[in-house]
Amino acid sequence: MRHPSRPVRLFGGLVVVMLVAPWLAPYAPEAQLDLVAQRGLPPSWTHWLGTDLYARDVLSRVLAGTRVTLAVALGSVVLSMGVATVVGTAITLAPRPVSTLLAGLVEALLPVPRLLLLLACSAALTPLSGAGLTILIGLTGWVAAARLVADETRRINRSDFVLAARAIGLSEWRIMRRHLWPHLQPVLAAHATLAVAAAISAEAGLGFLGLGIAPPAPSWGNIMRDGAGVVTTQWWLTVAPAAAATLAMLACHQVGEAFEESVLMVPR
Amino acid sequence: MRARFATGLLAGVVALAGACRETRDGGIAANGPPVDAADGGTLIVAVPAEPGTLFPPLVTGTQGAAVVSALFDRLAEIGPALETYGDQGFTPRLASRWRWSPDSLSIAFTIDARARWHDGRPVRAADVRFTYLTYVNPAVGSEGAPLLASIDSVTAPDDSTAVFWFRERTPRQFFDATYHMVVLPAHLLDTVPPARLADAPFARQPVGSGRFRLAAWEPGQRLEVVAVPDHPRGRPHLDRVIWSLVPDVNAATMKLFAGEADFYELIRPENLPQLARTPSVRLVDNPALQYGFLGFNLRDPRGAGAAHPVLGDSLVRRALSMAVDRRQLARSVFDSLGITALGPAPRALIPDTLAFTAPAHDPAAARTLLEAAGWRDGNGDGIRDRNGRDLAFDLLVPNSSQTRQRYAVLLQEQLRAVGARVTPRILEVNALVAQLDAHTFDAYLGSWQTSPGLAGMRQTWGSTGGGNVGRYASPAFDAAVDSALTSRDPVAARSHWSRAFRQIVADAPAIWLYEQRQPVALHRRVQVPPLRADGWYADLADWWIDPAQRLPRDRIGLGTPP
Amino acid sequence: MSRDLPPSLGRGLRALVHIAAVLMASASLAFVCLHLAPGDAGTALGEGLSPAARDALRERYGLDQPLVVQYLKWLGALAQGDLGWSTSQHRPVLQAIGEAFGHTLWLVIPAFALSLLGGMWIGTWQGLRAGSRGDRLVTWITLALHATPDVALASGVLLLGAGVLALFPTGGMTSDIHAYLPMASRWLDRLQHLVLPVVTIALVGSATLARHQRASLRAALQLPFMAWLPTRGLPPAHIRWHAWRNALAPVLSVAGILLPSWLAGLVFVEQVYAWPGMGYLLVQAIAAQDMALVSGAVLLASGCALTIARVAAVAHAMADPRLAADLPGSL
Repeated sequence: MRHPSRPVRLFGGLVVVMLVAPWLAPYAPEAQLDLVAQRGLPPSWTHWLGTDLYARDVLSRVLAGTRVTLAVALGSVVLSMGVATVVGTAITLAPRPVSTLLAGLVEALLPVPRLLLLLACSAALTPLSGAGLTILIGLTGWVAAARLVADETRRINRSDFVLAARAIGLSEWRIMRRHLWPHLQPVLAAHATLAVAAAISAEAGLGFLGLGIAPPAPSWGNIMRDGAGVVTTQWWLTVAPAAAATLAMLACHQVGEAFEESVLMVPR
Repeated sequence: MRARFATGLLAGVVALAGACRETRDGGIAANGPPVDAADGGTLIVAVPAEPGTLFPPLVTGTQGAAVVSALFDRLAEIGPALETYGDQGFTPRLASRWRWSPDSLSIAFTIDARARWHDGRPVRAADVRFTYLTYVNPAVGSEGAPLLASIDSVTAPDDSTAVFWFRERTPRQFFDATYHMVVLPAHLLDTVPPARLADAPFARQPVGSGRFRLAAWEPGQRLEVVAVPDHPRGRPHLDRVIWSLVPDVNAATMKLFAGEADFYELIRPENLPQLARTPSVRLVDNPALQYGFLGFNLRDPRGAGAAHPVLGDSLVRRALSMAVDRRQLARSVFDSLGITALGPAPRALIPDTLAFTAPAHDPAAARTLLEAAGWRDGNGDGIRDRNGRDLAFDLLVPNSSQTRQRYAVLLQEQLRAVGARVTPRILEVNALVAQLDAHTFDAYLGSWQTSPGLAGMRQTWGSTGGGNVGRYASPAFDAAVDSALTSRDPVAARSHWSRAFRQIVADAPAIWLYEQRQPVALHRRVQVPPLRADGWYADLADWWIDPAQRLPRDRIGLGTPP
Repeated sequence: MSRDLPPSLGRGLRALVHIAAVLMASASLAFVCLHLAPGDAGTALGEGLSPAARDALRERYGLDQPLVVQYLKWLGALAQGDLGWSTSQHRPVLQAIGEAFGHTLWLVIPAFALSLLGGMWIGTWQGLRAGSRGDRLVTWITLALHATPDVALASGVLLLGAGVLALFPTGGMTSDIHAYLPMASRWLDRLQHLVLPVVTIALVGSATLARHQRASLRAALQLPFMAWLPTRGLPPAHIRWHAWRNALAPVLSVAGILLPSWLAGLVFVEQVYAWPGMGYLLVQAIAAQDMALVSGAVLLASGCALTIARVAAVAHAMADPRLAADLPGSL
């Protein structure tokens, strides 16, 4: 029997890591050490994850970038999952005109490349704060998840226990809360974990458009972008943030699983 | 059952892989031995982008320039020393000879009687006249038009003589008449309205008179040119040159090291160790006429016409120049493959590099200068300010240039040390160009490709130049440049240039940062003459493959594909 | 919740209108977004050119006219079946898109098949052993695959296959001397060049599908009737089959979203492997501010998405007969 507050504990642990990480950095993340002799060094005892093209210690940059990267990634995933859930359930459950309109909106938005949407926004927005970045990534990434939620909702809608609940006369709101929501968990949790990775790389991609975290402030996406041109020769610039992202995703995965288990244990 | 399936799959993959290794090199149809032992060969050039158009007046970028250089001829080709005075060193191409008029206001070119277009028709003087009219037509919008300003007109008294008439005598008359234009076939283009020339089928299937002709262009994949065997100046040694599109830098390097590409221009310092370990690839020196700089906007970006509130003061700009250790930056970014730039031109083209010096690296003097200009750190945040305004500006960087992005980060740190806050803003090319054209920027990292003879100086740093986005306007500089470009005495021209360079370096409208000394990677079997500074592709027809080191793809011959 | 069933003619007409509206909405949205993006085809010529050259281009293509006029012109041409002229490639948009789409199909269809099979197999294997060490290991691997930047993954596979092992070519759809190969070797050449990019896509695709398959299988195994089945005397394999059947729907849903997005272009694979597909076309067209080409490409992507959505709905109904009542015609 699992303790119902396990997901809360795990999430709390993640937040603690985010807060503490920058303090553990051995060097200042923006300090450019010897520009000629110490650039692009592979991992060694003095620099556990090597140095980058500007002679900055990679480990320090990864640790310092934890806070902003995770905040943006988690925030944008929560935002996009929220919007996706609302729109997705509305597509199936709302009255006809609203439902058709939303369905059409989702179908029209899906093929438009994210790059295009971000470019269109980039003209109006000059360098973004972390919050602005979160909103931008969140609001451009909900469409696929909305489709998933819509499909799942329609499927659950037809299942026996929902039909039974309707037959007894339970209110729509009650049905959604007690029957729909728990069964959306697996899909949402699976998608959300992957969305975290997508959000991190979206932040890196935004750097190319001048909208990401402005240099010299580190973020995992920044480090990956620095390493993109030298993937095969200075591999540590790609492996370090990717490993950090894997750990973060693993943590999210655990949170998702624990959440799922605790929710599914609630008696119907 | 599952195990059997897996084994079968594995066997299939192994068989496929085994077959791969064979067919990569073997099984190619040969079409007879070449006549000259050094003839034959297939050169594969890995390029990061393909040309948008092959219509010569509208070609921008190296890829298009390289293909056009192979397919088309100029009237006369500049010598390897890139001397632009008179007609010294120029060798005949489409024109077999030329004659100056006694007053030097016209030159009569005689078209080689044997010259043919790739479709078989003879080249005539009317083609030269048509070419000139096309290049200068504003409806066509060629970038070369301002460079042809000294030409008054071109006439074709008969089929084999084209006469260029000039407004005045200048030392660059011959250069102007021959360097900027490749001759176009009038019979294929004169029925198309000038505004539609860019979209005519000719843009994707050009017909020239050069020693190579276009064999195939598979969009997004490769562009192939093959030798013209009966060309009047002799067939090229190579059978064919294939420009193979490889957008990713790492993949292109891998292709080179695997032997599937023979030539790659963008080899980076990080790849040098691997190159040293690969005996089949060598480096060849490739001088370039390019320099990079940090350009300031001297006027207020809000467009009032006033000077820039921070960067309009030349003392501030000189101080910022002195704060930067340009040599260390060049070492950091390029290793040994780059040097500092001395001024608004590559060293190879500066007539007298000792006549002027850019501000030396001296952070203490920089701080003193800033203090003298009134910039002091009033609020203790490490950034200087004056009258409530911080010594801060945005630095625009294109996302397409790794070099400039690296410079931006390094410059930010170096300028912070003297109390200036620089914010690099990496922009996509369209956004960058839009801001530059509208002059709504503070500073940017730019780079110029320079023409021989510094012919483009008016356009890049002259006060009326289209490329002078920082709006640097110095009457003294303009006058010196004009004198230098029009003076017919080389010694006098040298002193004019020195005067111009001293002026611009003192005004410091930019921090002159770097010149890349980028060698190119070439397969060992490819033999080349020394590469010309204005384009490695200039003598492509003279490259040859060492017969003793031929690969199977060199033996294809000139026959049509099977 | 019941809906009134309209007569079938009205329904078919409404479906057609819906499809047309969605197609136009996608393409128009793309058109407007590109216009909002900074610069235009004139700035896309690159740095260092004079304003005169840029203005000549703008005048040539009518880019100095207001957005509404340009849009209406494009719309008018579209109504006559003309997708327009590509300002960056200097040829008809239809030709450019046709070629690129063909190349994408050649890449994506094998990759999708492999991802679907691989993903379902791995996900099922994981779902049946949820919580075990093997499951945790595979989860780590799939998450690591997702955390790696796409381009790095593609470069890594290329490095392994073509560099280290030297078994496969280093990119491209075909060899540079493909036209000079004997007929017999040409198909082998094409297949060789297909292996590494397909493997790269399948790695990511099967990781995604495996995650969803695992999650939905675990949820299906928790359903009440699963506890009841063994009491009926069904063998374990049969029980697993039932669970898998019930877990199919979400996986098909995800697959139905993946396929159209892949058909719209996989930029990272096309970039690293020099594959001239829809992804590369779209990125180049956006960078070149080529309005007609971008709108045309998004129109095609939208058409693919709508078609595949209909097919996925049918597949859904086959997987879960309770959904059959939703066919045909609705979302």
